[in-house]
Amino acid sequence: MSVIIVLIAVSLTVATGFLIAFLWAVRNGQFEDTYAPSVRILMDEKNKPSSPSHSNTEKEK
Amino acid sequence: MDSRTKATRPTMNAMSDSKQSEVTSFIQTKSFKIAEKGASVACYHCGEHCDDTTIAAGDKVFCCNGCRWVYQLLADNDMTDYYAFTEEGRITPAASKDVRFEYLDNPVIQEKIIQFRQNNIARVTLFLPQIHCSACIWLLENLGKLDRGVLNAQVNFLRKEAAITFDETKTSLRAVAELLAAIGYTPDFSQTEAGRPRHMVVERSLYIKLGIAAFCFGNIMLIALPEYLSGGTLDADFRTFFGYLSIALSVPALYSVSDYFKSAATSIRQKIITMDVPIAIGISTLILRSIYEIITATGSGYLDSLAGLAFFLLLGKVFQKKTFHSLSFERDYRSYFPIAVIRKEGSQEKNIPIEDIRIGDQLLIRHHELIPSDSVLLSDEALIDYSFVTGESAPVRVAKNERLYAGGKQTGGLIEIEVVKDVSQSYLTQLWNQDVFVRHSSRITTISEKVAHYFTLSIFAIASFTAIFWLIYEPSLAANVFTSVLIVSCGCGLPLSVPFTFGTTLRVFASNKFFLKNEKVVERLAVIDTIVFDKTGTLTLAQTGTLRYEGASLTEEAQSLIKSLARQSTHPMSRRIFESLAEAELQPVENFVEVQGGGVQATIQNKLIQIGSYRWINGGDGIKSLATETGTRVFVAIDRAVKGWFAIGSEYRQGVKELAESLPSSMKVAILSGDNDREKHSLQELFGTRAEMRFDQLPIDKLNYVRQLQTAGQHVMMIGDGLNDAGALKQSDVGIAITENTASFTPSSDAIMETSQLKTLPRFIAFAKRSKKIVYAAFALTLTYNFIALSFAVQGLLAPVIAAVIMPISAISVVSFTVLAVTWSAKKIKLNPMNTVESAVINHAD
Repeated sequence: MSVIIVLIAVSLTVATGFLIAFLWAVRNGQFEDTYAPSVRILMDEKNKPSSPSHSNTEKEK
Repeated sequence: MDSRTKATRPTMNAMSDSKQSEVTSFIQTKSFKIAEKGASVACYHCGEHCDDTTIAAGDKVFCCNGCRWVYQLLADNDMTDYYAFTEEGRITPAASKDVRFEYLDNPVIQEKIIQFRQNNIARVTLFLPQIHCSACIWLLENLGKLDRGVLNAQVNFLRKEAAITFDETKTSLRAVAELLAAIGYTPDFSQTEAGRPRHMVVERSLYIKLGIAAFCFGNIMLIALPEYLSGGTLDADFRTFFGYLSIALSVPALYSVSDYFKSAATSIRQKIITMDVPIAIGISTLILRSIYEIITATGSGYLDSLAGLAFFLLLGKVFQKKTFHSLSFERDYRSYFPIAVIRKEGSQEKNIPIEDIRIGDQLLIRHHELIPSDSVLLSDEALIDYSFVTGESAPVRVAKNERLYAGGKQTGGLIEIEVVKDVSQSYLTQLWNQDVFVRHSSRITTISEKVAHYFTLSIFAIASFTAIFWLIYEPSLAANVFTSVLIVSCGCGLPLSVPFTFGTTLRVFASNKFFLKNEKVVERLAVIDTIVFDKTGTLTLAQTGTLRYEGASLTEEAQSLIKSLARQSTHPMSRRIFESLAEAELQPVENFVEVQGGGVQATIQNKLIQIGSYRWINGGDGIKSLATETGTRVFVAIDRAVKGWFAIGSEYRQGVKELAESLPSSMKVAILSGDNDREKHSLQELFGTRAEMRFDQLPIDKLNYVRQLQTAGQHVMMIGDGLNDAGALKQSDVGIAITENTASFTPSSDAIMETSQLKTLPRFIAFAKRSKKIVYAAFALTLTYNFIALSFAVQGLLAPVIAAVIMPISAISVVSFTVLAVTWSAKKIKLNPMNTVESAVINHAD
């Protein structure tokens, strides 16, 4: 019997975690623009110093 | 290799990983193919076909200096990747070169625009209506490379906004605005003021509540299952534990529906029964009875149904509230006016915010700037375009000391004016002091209002009647039955019918480029019986009336003579004539004279050429009959012999003819125009005799005309485009603002429609009517469920499990019925079925 109560407590904790994650995402504006991030991910970041410089395009030359 | 790929390759030396390079090269080949398809000379920057005036730089060809400048800027900053991106047309920057931003140096104005400022770091959110494609995002987010002062730029595509953080020691707000304007994204400052961010907060809180309700629904349902599945043999300890746990979980669910209680309270105070009243009563009964049952251990309560109800209700609200982020339905004259003007203070010129204009101020108005308030002209002459105010497209010549009205646009050089009236008291802006703008309640009661009224009353009647019945026969059951009836009745099918039907209808409209402010407009659209059109800008094209020529046909030589003369004059009409004769050759001009109020004349090839008014040219046989009518006509004479005349005639929009033909005969039609009646005849040909026409209408006349129709019991739809229609749009039951491009200004209205959809209007109305019928059908469906549930309730047999089953079934079936029925009806009526609102908004910008 107590096992079930423990399990319910665990499941509620997990669910609350997801709820908090969702609330954070809404407040943080994660759903504000659903289009731009899909484009942004395809953009080059060549001028950012942290990104490693590959030589793919050099070979093409 | 194509020049395009060659140009981009050297810059692609730092791909962050191989996958990304694959994607980029895919984009690259795609744009390469498109470049080949349009084989003729296209501008390298904006992709538009160049006229004969091309500017070459290296191996690239540009249509104008603006484009070349932007290319040079991008090339200098190693940003030619931009050209690998776009498949759609890029923006021609030339269009926006007239805008000036000196006023952004004024600290008072900066204070209004800058949202956050600390240690010389400032942050602004700018509305850039030109944002339309993925390359826009790329270019704007790399703004820091073009201006080192810009620290960060992030685009919100759906809102067409860019949040820009910049260092004020390295750049300024003005410099950023000017750079944006130069690359084609002119910031629109008029709308970044109050109103927009608040919208967002409301929407967010709704999503948060939906999330909470979903959490409660899921978890309460989970712990309610053992009770249902055990068939009542559940251990008592478990039952108590689950009961108290679900009470705890229903507290946040109650919070999520708190708005229903608030609005039910307001509506009761106003003595109106809305749909929120039975919902609030139902929820309160649910919670009270459940708590009672759990505490006294007499039952397991209905808290799972409560949470489910909350979830479905909020889902409906979210579905119906879907907004079009980049559109604004609430603009008044302030959106049209600049936020700052130049005031002359002695010998100095100072930018001041428009609110600071006082009577007696001397202002400088430049080419293409609006006159902010009624004034007197101090300069010698001005050429004012009043198309905003009157709809009349031909500019008016104003002499010194004459009155200028707010809303007019100076075309030509710089003028000086003296303000004689406050901005809000001007002739045009007075319209907004009318009471329709203060308080507007629709005269049409909505379906849900009507139904809510009868529904609530009959539920109370049934509940009381059965309670009395049981009090007589079995008093212990009476309370149970009374509460059961109330619980069942608020079952969510009924309140969901309207949001889902009209929500889907809104989305179908949106994918047909017809954007409604909210779901209530659909209902009002369904009862429209009178359509009032504005003429200029709505039925006809506002700016680009076609130049017509009538009279003796012009030889090639005559054309060349006329063109040569027209070139000498700066009068707008001469410009138009000059442009229309593109083929003709130019010849040297002698003895050029321009006569005020008359016309121009010159000697070319020993021939006297005259262009001007009939009276000035004075004479010519056989053509007198043409001169009976005045208006904007200019006559042409060669060696004093009148050849014919040029006139700017309004061009009807595409689809006006189909519209006129497809309007149902039961529909009353009226046409209002700020213009004179020179086009009455052609309008009558289009719309027939049933259309009532009124000309020379002032903005206030239009408003009064609509009001007059409404007093006569008509349900009026007004369609207009300009500020001069704003009053009538507001007064009407459904005000539709029509626009070429939804990114541009529209007056405050209930709906915004793209001009291309004008011919679809009758179908839109028919579709709204069908949607209204679907709502009734959905009501019938939910009442069936209510009837089944009630039959359990009145017998005192409403077990929690029955409520828990019927509630979601009715909700899901109502949702799927309404969405499918509306989509089917859209297909039947040949409208594009629903697609996602985001893509509709994205596509309409192209």
